[in-house]
Amino acid sequence: MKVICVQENLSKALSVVNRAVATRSSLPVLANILVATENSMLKLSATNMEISTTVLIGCKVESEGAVTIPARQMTELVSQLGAEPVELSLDEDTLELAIAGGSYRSTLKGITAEDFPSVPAADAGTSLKIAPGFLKEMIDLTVVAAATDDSRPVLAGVCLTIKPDEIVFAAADGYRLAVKHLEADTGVDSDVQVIIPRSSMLEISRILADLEEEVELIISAQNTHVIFRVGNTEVVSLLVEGQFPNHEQLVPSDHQTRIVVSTEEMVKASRIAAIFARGGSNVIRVQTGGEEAGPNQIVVSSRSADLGENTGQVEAMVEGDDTFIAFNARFLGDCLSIVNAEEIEILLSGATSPGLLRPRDDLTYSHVIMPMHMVR
Amino acid sequence: MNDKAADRAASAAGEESTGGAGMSGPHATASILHADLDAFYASVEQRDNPALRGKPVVVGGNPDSRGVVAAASYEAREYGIHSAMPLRQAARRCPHAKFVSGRHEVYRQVSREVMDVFHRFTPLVEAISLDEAFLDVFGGERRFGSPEDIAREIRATVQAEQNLTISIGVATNKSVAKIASDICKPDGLLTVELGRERAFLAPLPVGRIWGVGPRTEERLRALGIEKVGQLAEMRRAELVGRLGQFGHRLHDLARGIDRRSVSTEGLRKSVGNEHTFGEDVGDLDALLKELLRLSDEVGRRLRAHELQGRVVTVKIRRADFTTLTRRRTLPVYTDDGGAIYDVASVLMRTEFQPGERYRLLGVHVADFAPEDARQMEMPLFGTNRSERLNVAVDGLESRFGRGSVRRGGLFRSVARVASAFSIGAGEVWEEPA
Repeated sequence: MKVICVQENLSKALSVVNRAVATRSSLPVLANILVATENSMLKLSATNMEISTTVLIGCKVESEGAVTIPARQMTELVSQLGAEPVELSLDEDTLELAIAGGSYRSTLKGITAEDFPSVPAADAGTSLKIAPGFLKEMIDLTVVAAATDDSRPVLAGVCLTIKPDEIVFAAADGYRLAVKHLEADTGVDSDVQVIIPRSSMLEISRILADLEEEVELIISAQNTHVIFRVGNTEVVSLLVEGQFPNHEQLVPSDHQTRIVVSTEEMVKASRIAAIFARGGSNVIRVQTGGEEAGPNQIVVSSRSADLGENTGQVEAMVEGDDTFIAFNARFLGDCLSIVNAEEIEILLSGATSPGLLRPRDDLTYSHVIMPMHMVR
Repeated sequence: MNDKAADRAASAAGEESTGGAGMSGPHATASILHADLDAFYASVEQRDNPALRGKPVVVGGNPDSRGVVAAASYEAREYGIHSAMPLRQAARRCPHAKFVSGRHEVYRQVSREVMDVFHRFTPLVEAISLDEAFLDVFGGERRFGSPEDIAREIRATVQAEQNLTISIGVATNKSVAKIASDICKPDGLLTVELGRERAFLAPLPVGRIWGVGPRTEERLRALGIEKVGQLAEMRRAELVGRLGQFGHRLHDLARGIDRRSVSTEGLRKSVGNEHTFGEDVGDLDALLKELLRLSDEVGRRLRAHELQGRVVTVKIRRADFTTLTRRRTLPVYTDDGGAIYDVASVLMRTEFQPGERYRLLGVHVADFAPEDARQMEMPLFGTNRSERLNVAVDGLESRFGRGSVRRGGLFRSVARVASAFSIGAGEVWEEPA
């Protein structure tokens, strides 16, 4: 194999696939990146067996071939080379890849490409196209609520439901639930539902940040994996087996108190409260009415037995009953940090019922947080 | 065991009115235990090094150093060696004693494991030091038998699991329980029944009372008081006049009265449960089954104690005694056995090696939630399934005893369940192997 490519393209592609490399694996080849020629392009691919990322870049192919090369070292090396063409040439006998760029020449010892796991092919399943901005927003608004531990695998992912007229992303960890709807003519006849691992969703979101081309999303016929294809990049992820809980009934359909508040002000109040919450029960209290809160405000407060306490009055539009609720500071902070709207709506039904947060008058997004029950 | 001491004390203690409602301790029954490992550091050294057994052993370091004795084996005590004595002096008294430096990591670990044994019988354990603790076992009769049964069981368990002897005093209060364990040492058990405290204490030298040091002893001797019984008969006002405020307390203690309760405040760091298999187990399903039982038990204890924790630790001991612990932090606090098992089983599956055999499993939950706030759960898989189930199970167990309600998965076979239903008897419940 001998190819010549642009340093910037190669470096960028390596940094994208590098993130799928298995950090701790007993299979040495999984710590490597597959470097191969394919249809006059250079293919770079990495996998940790759950997620596989492949990027094709344009290059001049002088001779075909394939090898796997230690990911971290190759990525680091190429990123340091100057903006001159990089030549990769493989010694097929020793499996050493010579990398030449500018005045630097290096060789990296590789492992045969035959050992590299094959990436599942895109077979005929459900397929749809979606703008990268929409997809990224749906992921970012939901993945934060997915469980970070794998004790209940179905919760450690984002549930994707494709209906004839909409796409729904949902995630829940047992204490909060985030659901985002997007109207779309999907072309499916009946609902398709799969669960995509949290780590894969985060990876897709990262890749989408720089891209503007439309994303093709393909769910394999046997519901075993999902493929995101955008431009020359393809991410294949295994799906989580199992049934996601029926989340529709978990979004409160009515409320006793409605609060509308500036997102910016609410973020500030909760960040200040979090300083004290972290030192104590990790609780942020939100109160309307009563002695503390005036008619057009809410009180956001926290206290720590060791540290001290804090009270913030936030201007708000408040309708309905006086109320009080206590939220886990992290859950509230996570929600506020992802909602992209001038004003946020908080719908409450007392201290022991779930709270619903969403952008004002936006029915496409629901972020439900279970309260902290105050014992004393 | 020192049954003779018990008999002596019991017969010495004549009938005595406790005087109306005058309770001598927290409960109207002898249910406070003082458990004290015998010559702890020295015993651990003798246990782990056969060459030291039966010999005078001094833990503390090189006899030429300026240190003091941290612990002396009973053999060394024969030579008058005791804790806090300079090592050089100890060496003079017994030049052929074996001097070893302490292994405090080991002592701490053994101590933790012994404290865990205590916690199997009651959540009310007050550790005073590595080798000493008070236990309040009031109300444990239905599950574990009388306080003396519990003491016997603890002694047997510590002997079996740690190969160490522990002495236990049982009484209505802390002060008497501690004196009882001091007296029955080593390897003893002594119960002072309700109403017999004063008679039990009367013949003892005043120095036996907690808080009476050489100086107080000297002052009392100057008053002609050498026995606790004399102290008890003194007028309180006179004692207070001689000793100040401490006189009040001393007067009570001399009469066998001590109302301090066993306090777990700020001491308890984790709730756990462990099981040593009768025969080493190599089957993953059997291990997971035991893990589920342990997790349920830990959940039950957490709820009984009104605690929720979020760090789950699994302890696994292989047949060759190598032990490993793996822990994971949950995003929120829990007291649910099912949630604990979910995490514990992931850890177990990760560590399990086919072909390996296992000797012991343990499940511990730590890092407790502040008591004033509890994260509520979202009913994702049905309406607060686990929470309601736990309330129901705890209620049944408090009425019908521990183990009266079991998870289906803990039965040996479906046939067992079927027969259990057809004859409707609790007798067929079996512990998992």
